Amino acid sequence: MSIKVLRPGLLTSIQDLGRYGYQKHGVIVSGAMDSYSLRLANLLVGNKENQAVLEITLVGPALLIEKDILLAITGGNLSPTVGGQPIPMDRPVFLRKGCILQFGARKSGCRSYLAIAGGYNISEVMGSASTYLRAGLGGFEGRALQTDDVLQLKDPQGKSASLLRQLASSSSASSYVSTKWFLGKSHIPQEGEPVKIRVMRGRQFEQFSGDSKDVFWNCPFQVSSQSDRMGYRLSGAGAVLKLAEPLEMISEAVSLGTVQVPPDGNPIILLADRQTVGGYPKIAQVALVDVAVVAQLKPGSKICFQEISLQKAESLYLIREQEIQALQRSIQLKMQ
Amino acid sequence: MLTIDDIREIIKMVDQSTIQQFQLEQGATKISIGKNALVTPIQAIIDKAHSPNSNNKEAAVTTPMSDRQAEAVIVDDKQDGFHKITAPMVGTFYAAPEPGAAAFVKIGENINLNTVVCVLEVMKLFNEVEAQVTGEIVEILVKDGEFVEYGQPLFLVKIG
Repeated sequence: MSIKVLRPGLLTSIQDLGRYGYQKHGVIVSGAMDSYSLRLANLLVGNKENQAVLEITLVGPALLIEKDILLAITGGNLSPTVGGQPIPMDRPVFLRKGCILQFGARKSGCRSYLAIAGGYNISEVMGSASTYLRAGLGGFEGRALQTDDVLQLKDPQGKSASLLRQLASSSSASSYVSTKWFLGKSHIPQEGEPVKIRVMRGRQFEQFSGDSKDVFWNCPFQVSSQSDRMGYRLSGAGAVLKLAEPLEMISEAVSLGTVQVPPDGNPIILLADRQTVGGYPKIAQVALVDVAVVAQLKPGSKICFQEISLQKAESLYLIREQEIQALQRSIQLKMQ
Repeated sequence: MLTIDDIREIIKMVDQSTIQQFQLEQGATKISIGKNALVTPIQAIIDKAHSPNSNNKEAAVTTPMSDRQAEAVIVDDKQDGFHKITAPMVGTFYAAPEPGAAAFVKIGENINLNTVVCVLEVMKLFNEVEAQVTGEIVEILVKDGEFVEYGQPLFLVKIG
């Protein structure tokens, strides 16, 4: 009733939508870096949106599938294969008991999300199954997966169970069977051009010098290798961001997507494992819809910031939520 | 105003005569009927078209009304040995799996039963359409991004 880890990959951990309600006690939210891909993976297998999934980073694991399962892989394309055959992403896939799921070369994005119908059997800590790696909290034993780990699975119910049976019986020979329908790729950045990230002005935007503001809007920034789940450090090709005058700041709340500038002048985009409060000036705030795009960038990627208003950011958010609801309805209809 | 019965009568009359092209305009309503070719009378299409044969025809009736256009295309399943792959559902036709990716199939390409020839997008889900025949793609009848109806012909295939 489980999955065995043959090779753990670079950083594979259990995440859901995050641990909310405890930041006032200093408990980090964590959760999926690309929450949209996580939600879509769950919808594709008929899970509730917040179900725990495996977040797979850059180099994926090798997993021995020890029972028949229905899964979906979304997010960046890390070349998932079964028995040497590529399996399709962004749609429900049936895998037969005994096969080995592996990942290969990175083709796009940075993080992949693996949802299984019925979900992983992970106990919740403070209301969430997310792993906060730094504190060893939650998820699978508070850490990333290692070789020989065994993940217990829960059984799928209802429509996902019947889709599983339907795919299983449609082809008795193959080790995998997928549906003929799938989601379109939406927010995964393509290679090549600097990726446009939409931001609003931050709380301390006006305190930055005129030159710095120009640099911020015009300069392509590069994601440095000192980037992780806590935040992405950016470098601006020699240009740094400076305040107009020294500023004594009292630490205040920061949120997902806050762009803060430490004294060295290189901005940091705060992400899933960010601290709860920060004392660095905040030059911008990434619109929530683009946080998932940032999460799919890897060290070396180039980005350009584009200013949008709060109203525009809210409207983009609402449109995205409506799209996800519409997708949920159409997936439910397909599963009938 | 032309009624549906009027239109039926007109189609019947044109059908039974030797008229090849017929056009009628009455106020805002316009009817074009063409035999042995699609409604747009382009020489290339007529060259490709099928031998003039009363059992082998197409009738296309278009009545432009405000914003809505109903197009009914009645076609034979096989024309000169060409098989039609038709849309198994309504949706938006896409020739490639993603924008910028290579098209699923090209004219002249050999296909088999399971070859995915296109995707139809409806309610935000993309649906793969399999060929279900073996042969060679002769023509692609719809454009990328075009909305298609259930049963609408998408590809002409030379069987074999």
